[in-house]
Amino acid sequence: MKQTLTNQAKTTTFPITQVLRFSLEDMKAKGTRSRITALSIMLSVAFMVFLSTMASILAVMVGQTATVQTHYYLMEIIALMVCFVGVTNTMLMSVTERFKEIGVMKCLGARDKHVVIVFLFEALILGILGGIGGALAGLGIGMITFGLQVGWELITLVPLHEYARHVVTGLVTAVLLSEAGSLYPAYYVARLKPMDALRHEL
Amino acid sequence: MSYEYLVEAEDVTKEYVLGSMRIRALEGVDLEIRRGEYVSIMGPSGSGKTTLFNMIGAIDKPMRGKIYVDGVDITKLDAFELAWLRCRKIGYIFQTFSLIPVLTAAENVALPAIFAGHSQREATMKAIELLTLVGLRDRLNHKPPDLSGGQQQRVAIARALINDPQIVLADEPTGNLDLRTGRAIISVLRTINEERSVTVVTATHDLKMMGVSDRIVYLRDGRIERQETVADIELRRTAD
Repeated sequence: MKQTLTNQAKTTTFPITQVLRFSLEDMKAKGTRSRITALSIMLSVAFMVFLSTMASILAVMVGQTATVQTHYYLMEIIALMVCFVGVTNTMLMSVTERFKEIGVMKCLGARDKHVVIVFLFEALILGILGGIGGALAGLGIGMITFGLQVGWELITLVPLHEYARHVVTGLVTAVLLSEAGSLYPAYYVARLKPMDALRHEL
Repeated sequence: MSYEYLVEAEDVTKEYVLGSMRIRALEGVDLEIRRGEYVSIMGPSGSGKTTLFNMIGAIDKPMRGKIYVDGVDITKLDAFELAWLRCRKIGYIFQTFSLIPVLTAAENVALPAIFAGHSQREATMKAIELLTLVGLRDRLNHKPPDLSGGQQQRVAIARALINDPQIVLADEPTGNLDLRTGRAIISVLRTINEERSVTVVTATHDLKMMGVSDRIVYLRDGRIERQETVADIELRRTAD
């Protein structure tokens, strides 16, 4: 008389449009924190793009690319590491704050995957926003600084596609950074047993 | 196919490790719950109510023993099947309401239906219907922080019902509510139990629950101390 569950369609779903709305609503509700995270991504990407813009202009000016660039890569890496830690920290905070909510979602039928996706989506949005802002700011500041110091003609000597490359690199880095920083927190919380998540009190 | 019992717990035992202490929350509990029954599990705090409740609700697994829900041994299910079971067969109501704060009342109610694979439209329609049923027709787009405790618990009841579950589990549903609001919530639970023939199990130490329950299970120190049916209570009342 006892039966077992068969596998046919006994699964739960969370469509991507719902995930998007969920993430957006949550980011709206926690506006200040979202803005600070986006800002920290923006700052480090701005710094990175600023450095590579500077390197491009200097290369045209001096003509010795190699030595200049190794030097800047090091600074870029440090900036990105600081940002990575910042993003991870913010995402961990966001995750711990929502332990209970995640427990509830799991009781309602959410699977681990669904929980991870919500957080990765938030990270994606923050990464894109911070990335666009940061890349443009870095490029702008770099061009203006050099334009004022060494003359505007020199800036135009750098091919346009090189500037474009810096912006795209900045944006991609921002998204990767943001995703990498939230992967562990998202994975950690998704694996919590619903009961442990529910019992969690802040 | 229908079995007489919707829930069958056999020899359910659970221990917790708290620091260096091992705490026996449940010691060999056997319990059967019929389809359409309204059962209250009563007992002082620490008696294992919530633990038993979590076991029946597939939120936690016992160390020993079996739990059948609708003929399926839920202790043997994997994570996917458990998610499905929680989504489709069980409706949960918590003491602290546990709504998602960033979603509106209608969205909160619709969420389990989305998980179950219904379209946004279908889910919203059903959510509105259920919110109307619990008397919140005019609060569809309010978010939980803008609702009173009683209203939040009504939203939670609507959410618990959206996938037409076979069993609604309510853990201290009136614990955070005043007397009058608590009574109203109990009467809503009783109504859905009668009109929709949903099995309702509540864990409570609220004596208001006694009158509406078909059966009361008294739990003490992780064991079932005694059980009382509504007839027993009536009998005692007339004897007094």
